[in-house]
Amino acid sequence: MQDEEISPTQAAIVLELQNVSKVFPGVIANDHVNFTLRQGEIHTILGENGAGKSTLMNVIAGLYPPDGGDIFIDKKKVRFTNPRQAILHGIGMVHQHFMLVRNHTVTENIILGTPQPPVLDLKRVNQVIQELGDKYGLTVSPDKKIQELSVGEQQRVEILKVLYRGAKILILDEPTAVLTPQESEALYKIIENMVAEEHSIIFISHKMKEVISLSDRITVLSRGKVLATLDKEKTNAKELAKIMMGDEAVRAMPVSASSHSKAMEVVVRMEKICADDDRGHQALKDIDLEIRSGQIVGLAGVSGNGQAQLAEVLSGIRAITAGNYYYCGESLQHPTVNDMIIRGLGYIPEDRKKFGIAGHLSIANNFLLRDHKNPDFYNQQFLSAHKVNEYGRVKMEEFDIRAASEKMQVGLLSGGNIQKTILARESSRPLKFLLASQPIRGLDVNATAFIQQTILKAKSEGLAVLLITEDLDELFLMSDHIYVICRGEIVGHMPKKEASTERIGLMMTGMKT
Amino acid sequence: MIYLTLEKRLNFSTWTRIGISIAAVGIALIIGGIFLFAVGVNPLTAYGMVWNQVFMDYWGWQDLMVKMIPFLLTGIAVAVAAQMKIWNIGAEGQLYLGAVAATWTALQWGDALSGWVMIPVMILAAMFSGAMWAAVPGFLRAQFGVNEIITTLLLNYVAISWVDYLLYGPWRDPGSNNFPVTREFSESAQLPLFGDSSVHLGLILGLVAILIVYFILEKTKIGYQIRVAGDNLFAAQYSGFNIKWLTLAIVMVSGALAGIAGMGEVAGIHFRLKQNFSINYGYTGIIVAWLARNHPLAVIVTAFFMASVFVGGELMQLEFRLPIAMVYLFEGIILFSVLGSEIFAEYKLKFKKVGN
Repeated sequence: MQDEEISPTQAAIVLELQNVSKVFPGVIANDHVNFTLRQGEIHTILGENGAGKSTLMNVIAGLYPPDGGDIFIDKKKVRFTNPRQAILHGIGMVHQHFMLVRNHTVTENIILGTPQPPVLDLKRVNQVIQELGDKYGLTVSPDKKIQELSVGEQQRVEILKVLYRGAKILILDEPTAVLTPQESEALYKIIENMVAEEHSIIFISHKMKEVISLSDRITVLSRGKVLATLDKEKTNAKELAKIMMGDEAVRAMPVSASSHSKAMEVVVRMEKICADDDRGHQALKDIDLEIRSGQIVGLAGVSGNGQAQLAEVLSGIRAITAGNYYYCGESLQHPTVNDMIIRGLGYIPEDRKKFGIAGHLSIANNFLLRDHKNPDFYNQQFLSAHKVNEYGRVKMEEFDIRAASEKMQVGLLSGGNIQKTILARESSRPLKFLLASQPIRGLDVNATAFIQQTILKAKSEGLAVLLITEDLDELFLMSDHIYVICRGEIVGHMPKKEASTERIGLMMTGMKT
Repeated sequence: MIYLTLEKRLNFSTWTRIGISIAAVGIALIIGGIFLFAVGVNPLTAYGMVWNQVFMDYWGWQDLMVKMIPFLLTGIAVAVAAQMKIWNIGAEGQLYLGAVAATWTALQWGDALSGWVMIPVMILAAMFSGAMWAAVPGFLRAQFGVNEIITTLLLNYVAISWVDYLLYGPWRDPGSNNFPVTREFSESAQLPLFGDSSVHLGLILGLVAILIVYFILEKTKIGYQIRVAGDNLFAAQYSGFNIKWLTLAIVMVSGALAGIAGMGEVAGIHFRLKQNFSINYGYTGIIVAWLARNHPLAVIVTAFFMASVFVGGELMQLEFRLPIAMVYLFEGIILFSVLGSEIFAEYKLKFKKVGN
């Protein structure tokens, strides 16, 4: 080699998995997985939910001992039986769900579980954290409590945590799933900084765009097996999608239905709506919003800017403190949840596991949740298990909900199947208005396509749709008209053709344009 | 190296659960046997005697049935509240209130009314007062989120003290030689017995109450709402259920059921109100419900089981001159081992060989 610079493809292998397998009762989560990570490389693992990505990462991070195969770090064979050993070998994992103590400070969280002198020298620790932060662009003030931080900042604390422990190999498990576009950009920058400092990154994602732009190599995992490991230069999004799911997926990509051409009547109109949050602080300020039938209105905004409260007001869960809510021309004073259900509202809640289902009840029983007054489920006055289960079977078939039986506990299903269950319920009563909050968050490509198609179909059938999302790709793909919310106020709205990522991104931070 | 690991069960059938519960009871008997041995009683002799004199004997069965009545009612009372994850520790106090109300109606109208009127009146009065006693913590929980475990528990002491006051004061029978008891109920206010046994109408009331609770939970709108709210309050809110109302209602139903138990004791066994007429029946109801994992129909089985522990324990008390503490000890060991066995319902033990 004449070239002095070592490119990642030639750099030393820091981590190697040989035929690693992990078996859970009834499932082979990882089946003879081979994987290598070079120094300074970003190696993405791509795969649907349930492909075995998280299991594999947990094996590498020492949370699960593998049932077969070997792991080598810097060419030396290792065998971890607990996470501490993995940390000692320089492996750090940033979990998708943050593992932080909310009412402790950043520093306290970072030093948790690390060896410290009996009398803490927080000043010195703060300094170390500050230095690490400056080096990688992970700016966060060490004295703040976690609960005062935004999601993006919390994630930085998680990354600092593993860097503080001396990690050379970082595993980032779907790090951008919870971030705004701007926060994601900042994270990409941080990742690049870390790579420049010779850290190696295992990146897990199913956002094709970032996978392509960020990775050096991409390994596609499906049903626990490695299907392919490809260099970024030699592949593209379409090929990856095809490998990941076979031909079916490419067909299943949603096509934006053309706008409904019929004269569209206003279904939902909000005039200067105000509402408070749970603690009594004003969460919504003078919201003006209009949704017509056959139209998808996208509501963009950084999470926590009043979207949740707006959805609750629209669905009758939260009381209005001022303003007018018109529904099909009728002014609603204090609508209850049942009023809205009767008036034809379907509501897909943002936190699907927390609000959308009763996890320990069966799938069939969950179809009754917001329709338990529907006489179709009753014989005379009494619930008919037969009718409920029959209905469950029909809906599972219709919405491609994959489960052994309609009597299975819904909480045991994957995120995609839970969302399909909710969608099946919320779109099966006679509807005028579909309110979908973050409908595809955390879902795999197949489930996403199915959910989006169902929403587009609802629109073409003349429903008014409000789509609350942080995912700009989804926003542009689905919406006819876009509103942007920031700090409880609508900062602007425009037809999709006048919108651009930059414009929406700026408005999400509160700048009116 | 061989490791012993816990592995998550994929499908835990009802039968596995029942099997595990039975095994847990078996282990409790073994541990209890060690204690018996420690106080100088041969456990095999003791268990054998209990088997012969309780389960193989007419009088034994009669005792079992009589003891089972309060357990059926307090057990279902606790289990019904637990459907919404509300822990009613106050069944004891509600039972006392039920007894007070039944006694009041009996003393007031017992001489004037016939049994056909008197007994329904007593049942309704007991249900009403048990429900109202429970309504206090129920309301506080529904409206202000006050922890019902504390409030229901504390109200027990109030109820027991109140009964003491009545017995030492206004309700004391002048002809009782100053014993703190009321006068005997007139015959119309005494629950009918089965044949010449001492098993009273409470047995039917308990079984019917359990069947009704089961039916309501499984087959009605409100039952469905309770099941959802018990599993996930947020989902209940999202579905527009009136959670405050459901909370208050279920706590009051729980109180009413415990109230019937109190009525059964005074009107079916003692025929008067007296001190200590409840041997912790309300608290034992918590164990009965827990053992049944709050399943209404399983309460029948576990109530029978706890009755066996009580009757068997009483017998051992008499036969071997053991203290009543021995019965409580058995109760404690059983609860401990059954709750401890919970983990095996979800996980199974597995030996794993790990090595090169």
